[in-house]
Amino acid sequence: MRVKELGKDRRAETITLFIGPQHPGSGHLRLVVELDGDVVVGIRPDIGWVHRGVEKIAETKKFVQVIPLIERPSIIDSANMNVGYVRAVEKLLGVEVPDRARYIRTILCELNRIASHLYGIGIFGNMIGTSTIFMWSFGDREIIVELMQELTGARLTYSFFLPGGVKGDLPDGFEEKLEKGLRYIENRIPEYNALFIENPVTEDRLKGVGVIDREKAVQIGLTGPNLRASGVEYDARMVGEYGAYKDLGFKPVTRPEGDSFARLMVRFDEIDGSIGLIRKAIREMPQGPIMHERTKGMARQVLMKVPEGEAFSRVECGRGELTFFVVSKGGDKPHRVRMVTPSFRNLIGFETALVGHRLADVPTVYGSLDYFPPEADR
Amino acid sequence: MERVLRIASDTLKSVAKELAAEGFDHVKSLTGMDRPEEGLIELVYHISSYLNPALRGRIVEVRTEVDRSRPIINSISDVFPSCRYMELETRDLLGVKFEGNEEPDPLILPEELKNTWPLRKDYKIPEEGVE
Repeated sequence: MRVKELGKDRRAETITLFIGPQHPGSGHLRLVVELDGDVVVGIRPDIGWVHRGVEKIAETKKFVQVIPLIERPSIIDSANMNVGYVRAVEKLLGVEVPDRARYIRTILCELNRIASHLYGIGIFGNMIGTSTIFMWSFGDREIIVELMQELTGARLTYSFFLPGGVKGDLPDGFEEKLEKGLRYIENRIPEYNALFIENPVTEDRLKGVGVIDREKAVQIGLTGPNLRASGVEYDARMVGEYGAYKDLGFKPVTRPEGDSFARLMVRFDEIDGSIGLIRKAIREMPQGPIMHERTKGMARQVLMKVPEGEAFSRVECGRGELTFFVVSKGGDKPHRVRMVTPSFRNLIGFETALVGHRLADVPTVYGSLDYFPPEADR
Repeated sequence: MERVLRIASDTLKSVAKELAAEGFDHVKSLTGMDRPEEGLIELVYHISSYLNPALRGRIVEVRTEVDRSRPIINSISDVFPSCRYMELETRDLLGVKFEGNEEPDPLILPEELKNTWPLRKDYKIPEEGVE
């Protein structure tokens, strides 16, 4: 955006304020805010500061090499990015994932969701000046990160799901460590409630702020916790196209209010939901192979040629629905990889939620949308 | 994809309105695909529903093509505001003009890459280093 042209036509009584792009919160984003006094009369998000051309780079890599690439836009939620892409490739290959691998995928995806929500809640706390919550949730997230490292060998970017299954089975003694970690998070939730949620300052700053009603949320195509906080019962996990969600009897969390507080609470309640799903998955997990015969072994993965065709997949990430549209011309590299991330779809929420509010509410709404610029820009 | 609609580009808006009347309420994804050998850019819309439980599990794929040398099409962001930013992104990366959804500045690319379209197949990825 050309800086000198911004605000050219502005009325004398309004001023244009730039927030960012020097990392105002969760990454590099600029909000161009039009103010009348301290009331927001217009807002325009200016994005692309961390655009890396993931879709173009994907066309130059082999199918399996695309996995680490598509994880990068959202490293704090990489397992959910990973599963979206491999589901599309599996559809092209015509392979179904063995049952045990579906359960292992569900466990890692839900752990990653908890970590992503704790990250989002921490940033949110920081944005509204509650830096204790930032310290708490980043500290508690570490428990989950350690568990994921135990399972996959990496802290953040796991590349653990390959077309046809998962890289490894649960390590020895993992279930006990997992249960200990989950119990810890569960016991922390009342403390978060006492310090942050039931805090009158939090309620005053969040309730009734940035309301997006049900019809509007659907119309602008919000996704994830932001959509469910407006009372819409939709979660890509409900559709049951991946993981073990259908077997586990998944139910989405919703709230009717549509304000910043509801968006925060949906995230909190989903942490609880994820803990339940992980425990159930551990209990009901079948024995058996973790990789499809046709894609087993590094050589088959690296030399993989994918039949000509197109596949569309949708999965639910921490921030909402992620879709992939992968086109193959029959070679070892994709012809086209289209990746629409949840933050990119939630971008439109800024305009809807902020106009009419005060400047001091901008960080509140930003934090409540859990908008992550690297994920939106790709 | 259980339902694929292949349509002419000038009927896109009326098809979008028909789908909206059927209960489809948001665009999940808009993909532009360059097909230089045929002189076309193909646009693929994936449209679904949040509110209608019967349509939630379904996705309609709407496919249309525009001339690569004159890639202009009607915007459907008035029918489905959810695809407004997707249209702007497709404009930046493939050079498709969406009439009715025009912003003077690039959404996602830097100013100096304006009017270069990285997702077109003939785009040469610049290399750094010794010539």
